[in-house]
Amino acid sequence: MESPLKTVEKNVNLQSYSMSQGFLGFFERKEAFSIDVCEKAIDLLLSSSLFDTHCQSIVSNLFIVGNDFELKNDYGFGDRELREHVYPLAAESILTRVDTTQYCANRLDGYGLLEIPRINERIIRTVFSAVMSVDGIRGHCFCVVPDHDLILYPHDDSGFGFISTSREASRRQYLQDWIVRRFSDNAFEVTVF
Amino acid sequence: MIWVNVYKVCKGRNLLWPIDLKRFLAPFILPGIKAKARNTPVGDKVRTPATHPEDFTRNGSGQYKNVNTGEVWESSHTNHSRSEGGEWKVGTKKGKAPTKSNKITVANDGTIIKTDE
Repeated sequence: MESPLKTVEKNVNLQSYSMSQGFLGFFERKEAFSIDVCEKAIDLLLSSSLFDTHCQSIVSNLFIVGNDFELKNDYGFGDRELREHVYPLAAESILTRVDTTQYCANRLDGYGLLEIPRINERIIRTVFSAVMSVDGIRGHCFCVVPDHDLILYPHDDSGFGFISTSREASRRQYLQDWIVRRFSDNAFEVTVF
Repeated sequence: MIWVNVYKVCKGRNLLWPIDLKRFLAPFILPGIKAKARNTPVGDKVRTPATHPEDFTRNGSGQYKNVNTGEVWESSHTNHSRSEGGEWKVGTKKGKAPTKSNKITVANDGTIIKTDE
């Protein structure tokens, strides 16, 4: 079986996810940004059948630039962001902290992309929430769900994008229909291509 | 809005046709060197690191700073507007990076797509 990292490398255009060959579409918030709407998007995703089998993987190379003082100064970080997102993710080696003198732009091209070992729902939730709601976190983050031929990613507009790993048109059509049915909601708008 | 007499097109009749001059000329007008993304309406254009690399400096984490306006630009991995060449996110305040709640989404050709503030 193909490794999740290989699946991402093979199916995702890292320069622009929506230009990936199997890009299906995305959902995003309709209202203004808030932590609540991010949590709601994550709840909606985790309560879907995608997460029934617990066989998903996370592939990422997230990083954040600056020390605590700089993060407070540049992004208005409070203690909550540091305590709930930055410290725990850095402790689990999911988030790399780099200082402002280090060159890390090559991470945007996929350098350092790794599968996160031993994930559980708490880690998935923390990672998705951090990518959607914490300013200054950069890099890539994908969740690979092989049973459903899907790769999904959290994005800035409080929602998720979907990329199919299947080359079959009928399977893609089925997945698109499912995305529209599952994620159309008062708070979210679905767009498929 | 101006009214143009299209007499020559419709021979024999004086026909006035409304033209939005700004929109009509937009493809031929280059965005000004000091045009700020934060003051530019959706649909209009500004200079980007792709169209005018000489206006920007790049730091180690991949951010670009416009030396004329002080705005901080980041390339976006997502391109949900499907703009040719991708999208950029721009901070809404001078010298500040784009954040989840304060950002301007700009197409690679400089067209302002949306503003989140």
